[in-house]
Amino acid sequence: MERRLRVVHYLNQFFAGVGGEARAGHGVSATPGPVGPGVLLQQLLGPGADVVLTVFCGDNYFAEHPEEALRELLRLIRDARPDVLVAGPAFNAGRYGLACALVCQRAQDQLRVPAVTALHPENPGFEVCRRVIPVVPAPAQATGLVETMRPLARLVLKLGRGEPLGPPEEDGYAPRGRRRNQLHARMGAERAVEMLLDKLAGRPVTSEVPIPDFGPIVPAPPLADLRGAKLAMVTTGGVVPRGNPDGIESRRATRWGKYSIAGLDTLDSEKWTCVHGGFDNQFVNDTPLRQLPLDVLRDLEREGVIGGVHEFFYSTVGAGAPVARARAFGREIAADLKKAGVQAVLLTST
Amino acid sequence: MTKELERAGLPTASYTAIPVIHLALGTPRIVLGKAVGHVLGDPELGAERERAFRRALVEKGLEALRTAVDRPTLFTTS
Amino acid sequence: MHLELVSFPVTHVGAGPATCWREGRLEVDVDDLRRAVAHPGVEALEVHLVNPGDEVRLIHVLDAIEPRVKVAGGASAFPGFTGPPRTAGEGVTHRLAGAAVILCAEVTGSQDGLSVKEAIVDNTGPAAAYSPFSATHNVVLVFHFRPGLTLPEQLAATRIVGVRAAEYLAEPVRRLPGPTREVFDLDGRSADGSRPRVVYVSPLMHEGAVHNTYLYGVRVSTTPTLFHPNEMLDGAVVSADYHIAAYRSTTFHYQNNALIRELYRRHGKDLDLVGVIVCQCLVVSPLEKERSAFQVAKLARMLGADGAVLSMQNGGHGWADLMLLCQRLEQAGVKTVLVMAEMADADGTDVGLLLHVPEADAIVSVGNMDEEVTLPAVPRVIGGTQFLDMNNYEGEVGARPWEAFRTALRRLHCACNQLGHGRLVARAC
Repeated sequence: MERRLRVVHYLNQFFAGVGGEARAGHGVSATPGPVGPGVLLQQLLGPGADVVLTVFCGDNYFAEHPEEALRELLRLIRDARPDVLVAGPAFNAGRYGLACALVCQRAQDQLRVPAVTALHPENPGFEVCRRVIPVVPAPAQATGLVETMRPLARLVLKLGRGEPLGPPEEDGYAPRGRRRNQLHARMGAERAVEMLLDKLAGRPVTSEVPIPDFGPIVPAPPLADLRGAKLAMVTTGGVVPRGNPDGIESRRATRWGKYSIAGLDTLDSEKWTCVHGGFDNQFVNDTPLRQLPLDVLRDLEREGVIGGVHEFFYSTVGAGAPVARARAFGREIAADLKKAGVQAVLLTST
Repeated sequence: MTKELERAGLPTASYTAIPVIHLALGTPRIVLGKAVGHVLGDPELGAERERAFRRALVEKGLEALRTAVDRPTLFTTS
Repeated sequence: MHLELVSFPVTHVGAGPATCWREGRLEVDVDDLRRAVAHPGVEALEVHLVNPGDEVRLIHVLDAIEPRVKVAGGASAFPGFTGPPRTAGEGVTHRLAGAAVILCAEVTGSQDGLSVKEAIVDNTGPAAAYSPFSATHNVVLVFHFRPGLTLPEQLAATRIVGVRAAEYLAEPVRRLPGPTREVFDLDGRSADGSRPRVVYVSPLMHEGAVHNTYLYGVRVSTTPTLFHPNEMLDGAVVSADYHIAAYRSTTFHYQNNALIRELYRRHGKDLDLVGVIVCQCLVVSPLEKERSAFQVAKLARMLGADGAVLSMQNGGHGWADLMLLCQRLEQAGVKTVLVMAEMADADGTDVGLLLHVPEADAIVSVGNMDEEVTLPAVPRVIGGTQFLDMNNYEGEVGARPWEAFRTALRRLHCACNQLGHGRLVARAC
């Protein structure tokens, strides 16, 4: 006979029945058994699980003293020895949603207790935790309580039993922005032809790779004055000093290098080499200027067309770079350039 | 990477032989290069003419740096 | 064009006094095989006979080829290599089904930054499912080259030896009546226009010394070309893809092209297969990239295609070729579906695609090749004694090939095959 799961439920002061906005400063408290929406949760969980403890906290108290609140909450949660923590649903209530997200994350990280919550996708707490905590998408209003509780209860049971989660659309949580390999029942070729026939017939098609959102672009204002401007060269094409002193990898580079061109008018094939593993390097090895146009920039500097050339160029290998890492490199290099008073960049990729 | 440079206030001329990548990523100032293996060069030309070719590309980049853009824009020399 | 493909199933491969096929058992006279494929550049050739279930790990895998012999309608099974470049796809071809010649060689060194990448096949264990060659009966050839051969010369030697070996092994069934016969013929469909017309677009690569594909013995070019599907099924394509192992398509994959077979299966019923357009990917000049894409779209329109399935080879900036093809086809009124692998980082959180165009709204994923797997220790390794990793391209494995180790799927041969040969898919979670 399976042991009944122990569930702890986190609520805010309102759902815990303490009071509304006026009581938002209420500190951390706990009460045994289910409270408020926890009663519905208990019904849906059935005999397999018990909501043994409800912990709650005022939204303002949490917002103003997050570390203390989390410390106290974690202590109470830990002492209750739960198999799973469930928070909310917080719908679109921002302070409450954020608190749910943080409590869940902290419990999972520090206590190794699996956690789940339910939030409206626009709730600020949603982005905070959804990559690491399963979040049931909830409507904006609390009138959607029952329809949100059902998938939430199912996930509570699954997580409590240590069962692996199925795909988001089956188990009712928001995609965590992760992709995992699985074996499909049918070959890729069969699926491709089927998908094309659906598309041609005007039937709905679900792409197996969704259209990614790379985020908004924020172009910099243009250079007003070229003649006074200091320019720098940056490349993701992998030209580095011969011997590759910084060991920049030819794919999925984990670092970038900064190399001096002070006093140089050209880039000698003896002193520089290309380590990018994704294209035929022969032309750049022969003439590194084909990636970093130093000769022309020096001409322009001498002629007074541009103010000057930064004494360093920056290099890494763009092949296979994860987007997050490329962004991080961009930020680091930008900071370095700004500190050096550089005003514009010539960037060479493939 | 370019987006972070631009976000930091550094107008950036991005040289590439594969503009479709940058147009899709949202890079603001894209300058069309010659080929993947020699973006700012042409091995078919002799050294002198290649330098002049490279200069034309760099000048196009300077033009891109001085141009206000609000969406991915491709600059070409021809 | 009318092609009869006669299959002789192989249920076991073993050594024997004479090379023959008898009721499923393939026997190989190993010395005679060596004599038949002797090449001046190859000093020594190891021959290993491996059956499914043998606890073996193959490393340094270069290519796999299905044993075939051309019985009628052509001079050789690999025109342009073992015979004149006569157009393939007609007549009668005999194949040893369920068998493969596997080519392995430790090819080190790089040319212009490009090098041969490590490729592993686990015949048994948790990683066996990633490769079709754990389920085939294999004649594994491990090459030891004469000193002084350049990297391209070494690779060329393996190719010619490989196709010769493939023909040698199938020769015994030339005059036998085969148990299974398939007919590949596009005619006989009604021209009533009731079915959508579909074209298969196959980008094949050509770049440097290690990223290539041969059509009738010559590398593919940036001017797209029209193929009859039978040509690809009948030995017109020989793979010279030695890049990242996971997304390779071998010669075997082209001989058994899963997309062409699937399109044929539904031809005359749900669709009309109108042709195959072969073009180049990994094009380095923007002018030629665009020219190729526009030309492919034009050819598709000339064929009257309503839709196109696009497979892929390799990746990197090659994926830009794929996206451009997709755009130009869609803009020409041809609906597209793409088959491609993803690079979504080890934990699957990165954006899986290098780039994306709004027109690419129907993609079949063949898996995230960055996902990591743990391979167990094995009692026997064929192909070499240490892993290849030029210029730290993949990151160190830090183990010897017979030990247990963790690796990205990238090193597993054909794990994310972009012809849709496998069942791996990456899903949101």
